Amino acid sequence: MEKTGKTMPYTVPDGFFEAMEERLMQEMTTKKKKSGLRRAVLWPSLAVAASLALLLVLRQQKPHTNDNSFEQVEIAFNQLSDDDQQIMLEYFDEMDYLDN
Amino acid sequence: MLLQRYQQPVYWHVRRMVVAHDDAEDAMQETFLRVFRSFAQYDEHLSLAAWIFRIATNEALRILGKRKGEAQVSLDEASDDLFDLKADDYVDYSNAEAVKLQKAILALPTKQQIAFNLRYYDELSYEDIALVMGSTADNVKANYHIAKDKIVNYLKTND
Repeated sequence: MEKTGKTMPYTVPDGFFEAMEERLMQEMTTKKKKSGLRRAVLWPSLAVAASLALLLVLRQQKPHTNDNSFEQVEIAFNQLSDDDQQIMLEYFDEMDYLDN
Repeated sequence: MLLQRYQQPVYWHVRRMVVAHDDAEDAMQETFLRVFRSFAQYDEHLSLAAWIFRIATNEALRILGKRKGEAQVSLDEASDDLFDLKADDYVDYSNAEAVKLQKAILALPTKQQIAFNLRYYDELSYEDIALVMGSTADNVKANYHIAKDKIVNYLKTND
């Protein structure tokens, strides 16, 4: 084992790692673009559904007033299901990303 | 950059397991796509190297399993002829010593192969190898030493 050390009999085609790096980067960019498109189409409808859920919670909390302070929104948000909360957060993140 | 840092170690790790260049290329490509796709799930308290090598090892096991018509080769699987150093355009058979060492490694059960390769070639700690293999550091250490003894014996008897 000392004689061989870490030498291996395996070889790769010339320029293999450079080509592979390029291919992987391309693949990743394509996948990111596709996933961005899917999110842009799907998320607005999901966000509308989550917003409706948020409004319903707000109305149940204070049926006689329209004064929805930040605190109330936060309380209402906390009453949403984890999935709805996630959709809202991701949607606003996405909006933030598109604005910048 | 993650790709530049881990591309070659991952390739050589899977290559030592699957032997054929084409299979290693597939395993490496799928490994990095999985790494990028699931990067949000990576627990930063764990070793990044261990996490990446774990994904790569699973990919290599999946390819070995496919050859045998199984979903994935188990870590406990004994080695058989399928894993032997077979003809490949990208193996330098003139390097007799290196070929013999790889044959000795490929003759080991899968668990011992992985423990030996990650320690000897990649110099990962026993703790990191344990994360890769879903085992304990003591278990990995035992597997590494058993593997090393078997390799030394193989090299002596096949001199």
